[in-house]
Amino acid sequence: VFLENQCGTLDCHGQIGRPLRLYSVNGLRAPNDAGMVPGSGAETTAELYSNYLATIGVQPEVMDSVVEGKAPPTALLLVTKPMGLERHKGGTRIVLGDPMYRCLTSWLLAPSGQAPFDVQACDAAAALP
Amino acid sequence: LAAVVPCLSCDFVIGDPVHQSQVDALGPEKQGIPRGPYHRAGQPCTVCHSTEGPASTVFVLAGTVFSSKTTSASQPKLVGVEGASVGIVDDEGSEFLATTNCVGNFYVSPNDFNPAFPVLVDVSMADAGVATMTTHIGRAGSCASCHADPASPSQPGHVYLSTSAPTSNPGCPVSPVLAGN
Repeated sequence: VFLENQCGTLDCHGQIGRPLRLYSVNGLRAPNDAGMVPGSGAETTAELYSNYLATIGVQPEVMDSVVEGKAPPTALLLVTKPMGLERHKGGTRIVLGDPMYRCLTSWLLAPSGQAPFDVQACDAAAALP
Repeated sequence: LAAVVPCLSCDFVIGDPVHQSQVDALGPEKQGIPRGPYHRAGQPCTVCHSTEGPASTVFVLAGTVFSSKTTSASQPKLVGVEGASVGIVDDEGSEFLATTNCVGNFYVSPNDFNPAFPVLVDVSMADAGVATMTTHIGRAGSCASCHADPASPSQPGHVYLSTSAPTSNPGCPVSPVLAGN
């Protein structure tokens, strides 16, 4: 949810044609016949699954290495771009140690048992203005 | 060949074709509406009003606020709202208030306010309450780059504010009615 809220606005990753395309209730909606536009209706399972695929699909092989504990989270553009370590048109959005950083890295490290998934950080990150 | 090759790397001569196509897509000026603060209501202002031009003035944020949608056939669908307040809070907590002119347009010059994106925006008017955006603006300077009609899965429609105030100011140099929508 934090990626949807913080990264998935219509002028950023909630935009057709952009890598890491993210759907969300208040941003881009998946094509639908239900009349759902930004700001209306509930998020669908298809949108959530598409977001998951988009997130793990930026660098699938590196993502494998990270979740298996063979590479650090900073091997991923998903982490380095919003931290400003790689060029990012949206600027620096995540700072080392902030809720977004803790949420994202704990999600990446949890599968290999290196850290527990930090639900509190993710709740805080999603609620940030 | 020698005369041609040096120019192949001159982006400033050739220009950005993507940007140019965005400018071209806006079409010509409407008849009877001169260039200035009342023109091109509802269009993405910063396509032209950016450092890339072609407008000579640069805006960091700009757009148009319309009165609420109406189903009445006797009333036009889109009428600009005068006097709406557009409140902006940037990532560092700095605040700025812009006000719409008689066609509903507002614009913020970087000399007046140069926000650190992302920004939060609300639109308010005394008799209409406050409409707050449900998301922040990551970097787009034009309301209409996302808020365009018709509403669809990829765009929420124009910015509307339900108001009972008169939406047509007889003193306005141009009509606040956006034709063709």
